Amino acid sequence: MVTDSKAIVKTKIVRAKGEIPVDYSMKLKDKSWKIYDIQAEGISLVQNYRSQFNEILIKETPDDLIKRLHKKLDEQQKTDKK
Amino acid sequence: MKRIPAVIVFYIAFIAFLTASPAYSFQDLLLSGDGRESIPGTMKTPLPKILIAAGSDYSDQEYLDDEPDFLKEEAEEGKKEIITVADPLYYWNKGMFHFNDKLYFWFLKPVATAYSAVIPRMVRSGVKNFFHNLEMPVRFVNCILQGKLEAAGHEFARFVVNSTEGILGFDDPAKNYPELKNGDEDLGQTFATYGIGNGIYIVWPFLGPSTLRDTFGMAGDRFLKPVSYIQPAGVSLGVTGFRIINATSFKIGDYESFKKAALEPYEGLRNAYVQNRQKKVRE
Repeated sequence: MVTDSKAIVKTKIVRAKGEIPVDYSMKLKDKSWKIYDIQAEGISLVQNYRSQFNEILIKETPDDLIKRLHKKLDEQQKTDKK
Repeated sequence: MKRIPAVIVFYIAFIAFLTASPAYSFQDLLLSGDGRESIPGTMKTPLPKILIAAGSDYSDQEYLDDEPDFLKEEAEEGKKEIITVADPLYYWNKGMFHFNDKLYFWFLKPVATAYSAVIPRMVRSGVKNFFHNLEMPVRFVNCILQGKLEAAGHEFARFVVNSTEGILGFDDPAKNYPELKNGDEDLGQTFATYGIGNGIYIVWPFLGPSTLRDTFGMAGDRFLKPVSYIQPAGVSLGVTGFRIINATSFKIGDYESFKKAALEPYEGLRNAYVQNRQKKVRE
């Protein structure tokens, strides 16, 4: 618990060789806890994507970025279904 | 005529120098770079949600009202400062990123896949433990250089237990003593605790992402690695190659899922490297 409305849940994923620490940053919203960031091995997912978005936005427009996100999402949903 | 072999030996030694630094080598980075996306099940669900939050229709209402403010507020609190690293060697680095990418898909992955099909997991695990144990001096000395005497004691105790009861480090009985923490200190982290910054980002062929500071760290750590002293240098190189293939056999699929989840894999890996190193320095 960081503040009244924010918390960090620390977990460990045990793999065949080695453990991966995964921390979930959570926020209390409408009486339920929501995850807003995940940090695995100290790498924040939000920050990692933010750095990638920065790079894309230097060269392309926000619309292009959103298009790419949709495309990526479609790709992932397709492979998840398989 | 004598000069030519000297040049060759120097070249091999140089490559061996680059390759024999597995404390945070190419393979470890593959893991750290994508440890997050590679976790099956757990990670797959949250990931699309975050992507949706960034720009799809149905959840805009839910997210756009107060979430961005709240993330911004957190950034201002300084907890989530964006970690960046200077990248003046961008074109070289990007080239090397592609080189390492091909190295993985065309060489490391097929070799490690065949290797793991032939060699039982128990043996591969033993090999991994053995090399880890062998590099205790690196972690031990760096603990001391950082003033972490308790951690140094743990490293030493682990080494004693694993080298004897664990038969030269092939087994890892020290894991039965959870109070003996298994660290991964290295010279790059020691430099960081002395206040030295990352410098610039550098991607090395074979070794993967690094920074100026961590490159000097790798060079220094080599003096504490028994494998570096194997003669001739070619054998030392071979041993390191074997170690990398062995380590890769446990991580097949990690790099693939990292690449699959990333929009810009180069930037993603750069950011992941810097974040992961910063976390290790904090510890």
